[in-house]
Amino acid sequence: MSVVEATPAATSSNGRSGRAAFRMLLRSPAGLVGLILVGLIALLCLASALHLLPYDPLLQEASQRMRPPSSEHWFGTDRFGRDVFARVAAGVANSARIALVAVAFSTLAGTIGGIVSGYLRGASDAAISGVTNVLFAFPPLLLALTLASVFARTWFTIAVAIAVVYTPIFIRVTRGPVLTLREIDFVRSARATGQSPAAIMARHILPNIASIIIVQVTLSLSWAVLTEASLSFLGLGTPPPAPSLGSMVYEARTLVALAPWTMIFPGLIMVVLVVGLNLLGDGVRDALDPQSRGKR
Amino acid sequence: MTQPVLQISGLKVAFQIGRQEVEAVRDVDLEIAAGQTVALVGESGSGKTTTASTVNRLLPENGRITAGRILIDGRDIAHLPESEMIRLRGAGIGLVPQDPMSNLNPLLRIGQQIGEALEVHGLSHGQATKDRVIELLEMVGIPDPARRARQYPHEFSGGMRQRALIAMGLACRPRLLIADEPTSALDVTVQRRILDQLGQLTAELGTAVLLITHDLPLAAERADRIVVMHQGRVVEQGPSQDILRHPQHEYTKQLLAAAPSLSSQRLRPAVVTSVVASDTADLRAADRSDDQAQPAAPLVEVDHLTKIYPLRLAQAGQPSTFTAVDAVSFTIPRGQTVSLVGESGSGKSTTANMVLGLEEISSGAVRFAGLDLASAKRDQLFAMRRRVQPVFQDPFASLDPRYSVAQSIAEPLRVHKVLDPAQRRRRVAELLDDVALPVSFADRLPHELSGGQRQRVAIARALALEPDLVVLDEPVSALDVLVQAQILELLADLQSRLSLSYLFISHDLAVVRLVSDQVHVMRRGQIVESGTPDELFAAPQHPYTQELLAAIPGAQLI
Repeated sequence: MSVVEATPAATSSNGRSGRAAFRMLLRSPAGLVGLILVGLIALLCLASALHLLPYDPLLQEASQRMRPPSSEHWFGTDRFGRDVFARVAAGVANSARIALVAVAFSTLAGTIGGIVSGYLRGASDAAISGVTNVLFAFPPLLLALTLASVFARTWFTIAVAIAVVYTPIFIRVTRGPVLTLREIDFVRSARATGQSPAAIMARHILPNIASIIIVQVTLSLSWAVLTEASLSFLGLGTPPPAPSLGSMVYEARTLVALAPWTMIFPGLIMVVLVVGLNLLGDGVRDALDPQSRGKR
Repeated sequence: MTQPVLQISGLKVAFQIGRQEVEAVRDVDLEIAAGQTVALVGESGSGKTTTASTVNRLLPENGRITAGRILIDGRDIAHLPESEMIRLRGAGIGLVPQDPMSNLNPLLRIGQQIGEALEVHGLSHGQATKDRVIELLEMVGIPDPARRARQYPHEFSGGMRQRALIAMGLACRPRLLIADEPTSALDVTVQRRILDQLGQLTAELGTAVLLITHDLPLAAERADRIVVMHQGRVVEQGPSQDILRHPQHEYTKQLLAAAPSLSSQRLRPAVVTSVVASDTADLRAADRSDDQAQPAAPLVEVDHLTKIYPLRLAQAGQPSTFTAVDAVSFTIPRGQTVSLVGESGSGKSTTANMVLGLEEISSGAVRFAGLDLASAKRDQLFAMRRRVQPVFQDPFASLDPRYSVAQSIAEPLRVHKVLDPAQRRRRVAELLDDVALPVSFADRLPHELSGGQRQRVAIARALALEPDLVVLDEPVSALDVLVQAQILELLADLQSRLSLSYLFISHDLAVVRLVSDQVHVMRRGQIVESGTPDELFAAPQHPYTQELLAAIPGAQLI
């Protein structure tokens, strides 16, 4: 991520360095648990993406319909005889891909927007803040529906819809600290030295708000996963037959009495991922906050 | 009764930091009798605030009293349970905190906040509280107290808020009042009025006062006794006059010597003759003598400079603009220091910002070596910025926390594409040497430096491009007095070696006297009086200058 690379002091031997923050993260219980949960899910996604799992998520086996969990089908099978474990893995990989792309886009656009509007003020601030307010008013479902009806409904349009909804949050989160930073003495002396606004934003402003952005990224990822799942649940997300956690839960709805595993496992994985990301977000925030660091 | 109100003996306080226990205060003994004021004087980190917060037992969570007794009216409170301390705080021990801006709840009316102290301790309620609050506000010198009590903190000026806090501290007629730097956030003229009021009130009420301050002359003027603290220990204590006239301890002597006063002379380094630090300095010196051959044109001409801000929330019938700087004119000759003095809101910093090109000019002109900044082209302005560099007040804000010392100092070189990286590294070492910091500091980060060291780094950064003019905006006001003296000497030394011109902004007339060739006193955006420091300080003409001079603590003592 560009945010992390732009931190000039991150490599030097000091209390704020990336490595020290990472050690802090491992030492906090929340951070460690979050890291493990997210790591496990990441492995699952990877295995699915590389076709390392024994079953194809789309393969229907009429003889294996609605089988309960067993040594053969760990999470059982659904009503078309598809392996639930393979579908859950593929579904979470799909959710993760959408969430990552959406959050990457909103981080980039939101951070640039927030820094520019906070630092330059004036007309650009009015324009960016105006657009932000308009975007805040859009429910993600409505936006996704609009985008899906205008463009082909693919995972990418879903990602774009989520990104558009999340960008204003990044603008809001960065703009405030930038307003404070622009008046601080080291920024004023950079201006007095003749440094251009773009250089000041890149060299002084961005590195000093990087920790805020990193925390926001982890939290936004978990929200984005949930947003994608709810879009899919409502049939506005990833088009079938591609598996998605939200649509799996929707399909399992009518079968829940007969085959509860078809609903439990996708739901469970979603909970694990969201809780993991939230814990990771908490841990990262504590690790990057110098005040909480002093207490340990 | 001769029993003292407060008696501290053998006090030790330790802080748990990580797994270590660090002693912050060692073997402190002091006594305050009723009606007496004792000043606890020391630099930041000397343990004076820690000592005070043991008295009302408001130490930070990781601090604890490891030895000693704290007697209030003969009762040891060092290990009193919290439930009993709550009863004592406010009622028995009043507190006037340092920062009037953050110590009032912005959502409550002033009267409610003062009344709260009374009602918590069950001293009054209902209408009686309201009457008492108005009485208290009147007592601390707030005009129209009945109306003022219904106002919110944002409707009060800094000085008024501090008066309200004093009213709060005295509301329950405590036996002891702790005043922790009660006026250091205020202008000198306001400071004087408030301390006068506080002294008068506590004398009337017979309150014992523990005054905490970093300012030795102020302590001498306001306290009966002075306790000097250094590195957690009491190094000296005695009657104020004795401490001032016959300091015994080396540290007290240093503090007294470093405190700038009105009798101080202009700092002139012993060696004024050319010190050739490098070839460039040599060239500059040659350059300079050429300039001086022609009868000196001033480096900077400020001509009827004006800054007008639009007021966003102006109501009908009120002016919709605010004139922060009003037709200010002065010149800065080469190699000299010109100072702008004034209290907060006088427009001195806005003027400095316009000279630095950080603030747009509403009307009038700043001409730098003949170049008019307002009409200058972009590249001319960029070239001008090489020759004018700033040093700001707050040493904790003036360096990017993520830049190493070397990166900060080299930044102007990088921006102006001067020198290659290896040369820049050498230049940084040279500059660190100039500001008397070891070269090993180059790789440190700001949080590893003290305030004075950071300010030296900020000065080194300002000197990197070999500017002609350095704009010093309150460069020493955030520093302890010993560090302040060192930085002022460094500035004077650099000025003569590199023949720099300074525009020096300060609220402190004593400091200004130390460094200036020319002084302009500003008030409400205008220059009310100008002159050399000697003229101005010996025979101030304008009433405002006279008031400023009279407000300097210790002026009549030394």
